[in-house]
Amino acid sequence: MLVQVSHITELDYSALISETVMELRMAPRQERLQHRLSFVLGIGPASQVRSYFDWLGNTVHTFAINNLHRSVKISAVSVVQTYDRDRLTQHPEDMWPLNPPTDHSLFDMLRLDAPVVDCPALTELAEKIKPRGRESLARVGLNIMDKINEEFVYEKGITSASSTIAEVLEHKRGVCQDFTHLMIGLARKLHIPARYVSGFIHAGNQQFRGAAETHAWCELYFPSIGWIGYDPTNNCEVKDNFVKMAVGRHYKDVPPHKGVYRGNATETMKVEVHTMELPEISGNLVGERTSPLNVPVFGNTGRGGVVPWILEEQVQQQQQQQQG
Amino acid sequence: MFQGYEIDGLFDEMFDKPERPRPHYSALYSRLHDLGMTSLQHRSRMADLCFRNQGITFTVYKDTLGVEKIFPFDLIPRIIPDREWTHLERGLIQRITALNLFCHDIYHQQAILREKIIDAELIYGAKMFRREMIGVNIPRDIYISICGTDLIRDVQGNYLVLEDNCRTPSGVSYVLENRAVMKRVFPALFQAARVRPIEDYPHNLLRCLKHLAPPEVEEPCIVVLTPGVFNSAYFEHSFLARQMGVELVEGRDLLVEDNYIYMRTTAGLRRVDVIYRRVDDDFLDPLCFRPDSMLGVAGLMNVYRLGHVALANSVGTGVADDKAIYPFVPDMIRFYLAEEPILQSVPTYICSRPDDRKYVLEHLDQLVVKATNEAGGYGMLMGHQAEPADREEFACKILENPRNFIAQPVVQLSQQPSLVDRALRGRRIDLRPYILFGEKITVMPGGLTRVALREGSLVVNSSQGGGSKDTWVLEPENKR
Repeated sequence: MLVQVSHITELDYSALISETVMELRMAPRQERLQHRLSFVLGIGPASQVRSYFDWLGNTVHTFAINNLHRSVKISAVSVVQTYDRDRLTQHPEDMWPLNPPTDHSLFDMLRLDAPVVDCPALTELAEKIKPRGRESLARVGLNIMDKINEEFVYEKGITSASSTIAEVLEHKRGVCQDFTHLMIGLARKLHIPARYVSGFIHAGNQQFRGAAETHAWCELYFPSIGWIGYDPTNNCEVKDNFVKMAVGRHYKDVPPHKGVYRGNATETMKVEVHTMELPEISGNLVGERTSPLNVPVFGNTGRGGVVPWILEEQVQQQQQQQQG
Repeated sequence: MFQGYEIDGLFDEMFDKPERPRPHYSALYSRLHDLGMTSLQHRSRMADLCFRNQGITFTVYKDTLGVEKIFPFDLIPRIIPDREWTHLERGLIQRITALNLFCHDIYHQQAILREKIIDAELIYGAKMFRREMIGVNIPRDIYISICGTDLIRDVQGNYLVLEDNCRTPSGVSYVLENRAVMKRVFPALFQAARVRPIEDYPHNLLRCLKHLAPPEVEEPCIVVLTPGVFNSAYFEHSFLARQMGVELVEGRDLLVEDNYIYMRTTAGLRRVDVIYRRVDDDFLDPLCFRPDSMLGVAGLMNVYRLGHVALANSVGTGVADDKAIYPFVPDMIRFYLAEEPILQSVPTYICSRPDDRKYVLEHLDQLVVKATNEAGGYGMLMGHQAEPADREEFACKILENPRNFIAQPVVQLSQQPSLVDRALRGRRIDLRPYILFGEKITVMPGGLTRVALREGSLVVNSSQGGGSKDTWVLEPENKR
């Protein structure tokens, strides 16, 4: 499928702020079943952008703004060619239980670590899913999703971006991020390497939770063929209408934007996602480009003065260990 | 002078038998005799006054009687003959070389894990393993520019490595100040003893930092980054900055623009090339590490990754001085250098290993238990001296999080005469030499000798009531 994704993020502040430092994980990944043909990143106020691959292979763009400003706008538009799993990957033969991995980079995807925190409720739920004997790994993946959908309700406003799975297990409610963390937790409990994916769904004329917004799902590791996607929020296997931005151990590794600002102001965020299937690759498609967006700045402040006051918390942080 | 001085089966630095000083101490011994106790005490008060007047202090956290303390100074110097020192120096150079190669390997090919010389679980479970550093290339591949390695001597007098400090080792300012005071209080003795100078340390440190700067920058801008005035080692941060003639800055004095680091100055922004940072990894960059940090510079890690600024020490070196990794340093030396380790280590039980754990829990009253990621004598149990309730508490902690603990047999540290209440008494000491990894590796001759001033105590950390002494490494005999 040839998909165009436009992903617009607007951050507005209640007062002028003097500094924004940000990193983005918005560029779709280059993978076997997903090719990024075009990526145009617009940032305003204008700023110099650099990019690199992080330790998980995600493309990260970074920038800093040191002028007074009241809003930051980020527009990421990409064109991606995606492919469905082929016959080989459709029916992997891997069986549960898996042998412990020899590739130690998989250790991180087996470790229960905040927000995918180990807790008695998780153990209990994992026990219910645990196969009695040898079982097809693909089947185990589907069983985990079924169980989550049987016991949990999709509902916004109950959990927050920083919720752990302990909270989700308690409330039995959550959104895509929570469902994904939960599935990762259950898989890791069964010693299946599992990772977090952030991305988009192109719904077309079907119904999907998480379409027209940033979405999250889970991938399980199949030793014979690699990572395979499962979307516990929609209780389905991942197909070619899914576009992957970034992967990680959990949400904290992959936020589409992550920033620090300086100023006495509150932030409001608006995110818009539009996806569209394209009939063909356009002749004038650009490869990779960054461009400035017209967002106003109000003079330069980054240059002078220190903050005259010091907070109690700052005192505590300064009292960090020295190796003495 | 030495009436009632007891050796008590320990290794004594000064005496091999009662009233019989070792050859390299004989000059000091006779000078002390000539001086007499009254004069010695007078000089000791002089020394204290010097420290107080210069405001040389450190900070003890969680002490209600005020946080600023004078680091107690003991007048009797520790003397190391040239032959012993040469051996130590070779061993320390070998060790920092291996530790540095280890850091590079862990954040790149991970050969030592693939060859199964170190259990990968141990690394991936280490709190200080920084995944953000994987695949990042740093200036000249030097991770540990400044290392402070703690050495102790057992009852036979063998030097053993107790631990390495590869993150932000502190204490070097006391070494320099102790020496300055010593020269004033004992001018004649000092001259006669032919002690190797240490005063070039700030100069060597500056060269070591310059070595990390981008080669195309002719006059690199170097700064010392401190957490701030409330930090225990703030005195040292300002001391070193002043000695090197560079700016002392806090995180709020720096900012990122166009992917470079700049310092706010009264004359506008100035680009910074090298940061000698005395801020922990966790607080270094709120964007990358702890988001609530108010001490760091947001975006610093991205600039570092691009090679636009150098850091000393690098990020993630805590994986090399993790106490559960410590027992593998001899294996690292064999693996990376194909050499046998020159310095011995203390036998260590790793509590994450079931057999070791069982042994530790059964022998808590004979062992020293340490938290793997703590320093400064915090988070530690001296099993043989502890109350049963404290042992019980540690047993629970070990069971709760075994990866977090190691245990070692109690090493009876060597003792050294120290001035305590109008008499000379044997008190336990250790030694922290400072190693600089620049264009070449230099070890400061001597280092910080810390002394446990409480009778019978084996804990020398300043935060736990320790003091310090001047350390004299003697010139080789043939240079006479």
